[in-house]
Amino acid sequence: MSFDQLRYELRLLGKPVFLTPPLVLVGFVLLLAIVNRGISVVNIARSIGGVLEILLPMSVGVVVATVATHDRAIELQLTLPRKYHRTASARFLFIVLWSGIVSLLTSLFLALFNYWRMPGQIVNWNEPGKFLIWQLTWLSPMLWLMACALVLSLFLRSRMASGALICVLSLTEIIAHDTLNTTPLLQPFYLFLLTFSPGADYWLVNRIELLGMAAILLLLAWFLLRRPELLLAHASGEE
Amino acid sequence: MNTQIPDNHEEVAELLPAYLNGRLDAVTLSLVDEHLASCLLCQQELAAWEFVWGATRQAFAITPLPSTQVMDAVWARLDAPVAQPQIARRGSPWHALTRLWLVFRAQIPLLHKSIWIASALVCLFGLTLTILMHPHTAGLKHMASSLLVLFIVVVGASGSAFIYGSSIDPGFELTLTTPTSMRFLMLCRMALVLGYNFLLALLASAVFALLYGGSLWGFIQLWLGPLLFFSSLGLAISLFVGSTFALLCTAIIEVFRSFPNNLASRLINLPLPSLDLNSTNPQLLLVAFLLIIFAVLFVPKQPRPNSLT
Repeated sequence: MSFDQLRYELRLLGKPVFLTPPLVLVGFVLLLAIVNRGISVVNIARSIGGVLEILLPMSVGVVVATVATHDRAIELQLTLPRKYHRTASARFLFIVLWSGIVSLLTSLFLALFNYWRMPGQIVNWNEPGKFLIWQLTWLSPMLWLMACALVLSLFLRSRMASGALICVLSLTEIIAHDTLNTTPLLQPFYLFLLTFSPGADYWLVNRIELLGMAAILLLLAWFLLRRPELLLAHASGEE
Repeated sequence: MNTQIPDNHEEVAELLPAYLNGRLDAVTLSLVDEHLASCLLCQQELAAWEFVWGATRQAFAITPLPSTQVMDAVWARLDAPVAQPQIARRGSPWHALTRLWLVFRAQIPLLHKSIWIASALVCLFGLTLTILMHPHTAGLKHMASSLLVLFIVVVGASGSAFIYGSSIDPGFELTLTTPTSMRFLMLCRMALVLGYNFLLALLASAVFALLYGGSLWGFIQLWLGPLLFFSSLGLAISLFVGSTFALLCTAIIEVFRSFPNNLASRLINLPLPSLDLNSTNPQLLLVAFLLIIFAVLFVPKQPRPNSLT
């Protein structure tokens, strides 16, 4: 993809994609600082870990769910020699990359000032190893929610339904975190492990399982994107 | 047909169609006959007209004619006196009610089908999830009811976020050209979606109350205020910054709602902002009302499609 094409795609994606990750992060910090005036910088910085694990992946999921199948020029796109699934994949890749950059820079800040919470499993690892593996805290739920949003959006053909489902899925994870932690069958689906159960001894396995599920879901989405009749079915502006 | 006596073949040629149809008077007919007997050009012209006449007759012959009963019925309907429609006086309550009903009815097909289907599906999913939890203890019942309220509220917020705007409505420009006020249209759509979500939530609450006991009104109070608040918030934000942001904002507020209750002691012992939106109270209803007022005031100032590019 050339630079011009990339710039064009970015213009099409619009502000929600660019602004969402920084706004969520800055908004959360500002809200904490304004509502709880006596709060220390250390506490604010540490809570950002929770934002990286919960709010940013959820935001990516909602954004992907709402832009995945919504293209005003989808009929025109399908007539072009360049396959649409490649264009769409480039868009999703950009969304994840941009949120990933924001998350990575934030985690770098947390690591530099030692404000982060460390999963019990990797506390004794060396520093570079800890930093790299810690990135799975946000990467696994982000990819899982993004893949899930993509598949839901392509199956349900409704950005409203898929967006709402991603929201309720994330919120259910928050409310039912104890059940997810104590039920072995549900442990692979526990997205926000570090925030709610930092001492869990299955943190690393859980992260890898989430990545595996995300890979399967992305593969499914790749095949669904290759079916033009599925995309054209909601080209008339169906939400 | 009475014409002057033809003295050359050009004049006779003009009379040939009438000659063929038998519409000439006797004198003219005999004169044309005389001329035809001696003029070769007019004989050829007549032959051409006879060919056209024959082809026309053949075409009519293979075209089925409507029965006389059908024609009689058509004529009877045309001749029937036209009943004057009852036009309500402009400004009368009946006129206002009729107009309201017509605008309401017209909005149903304009709203996306997915709003109806998705809301029902998400509500059903939430209810199934709570049933699967087997809430036999008080703690589990509380958690199950919180989960159901959460689903109801998210459905309300997401439905309202996708009802109005240039990026939602494929016929938005057409909508703007109608004489009906944009505010009125938006309120009609909001009332429709909110009413539908209210019915869904009522049904889900009734099933939950039936299965696990408890007062239905008590359960309704758990979601009524939040449903109205988040629906109006979703609508207001969607007009302001778009549907995706609206959905995201309501979800993040929901996350904040869940934080203090569920992980006050877990999340780094952090005093997170406490948003008491868990039950119906006058303040919440007032804020919901103010948000709708804001949406109504803001609608005409919403960016037009041509200014979005």
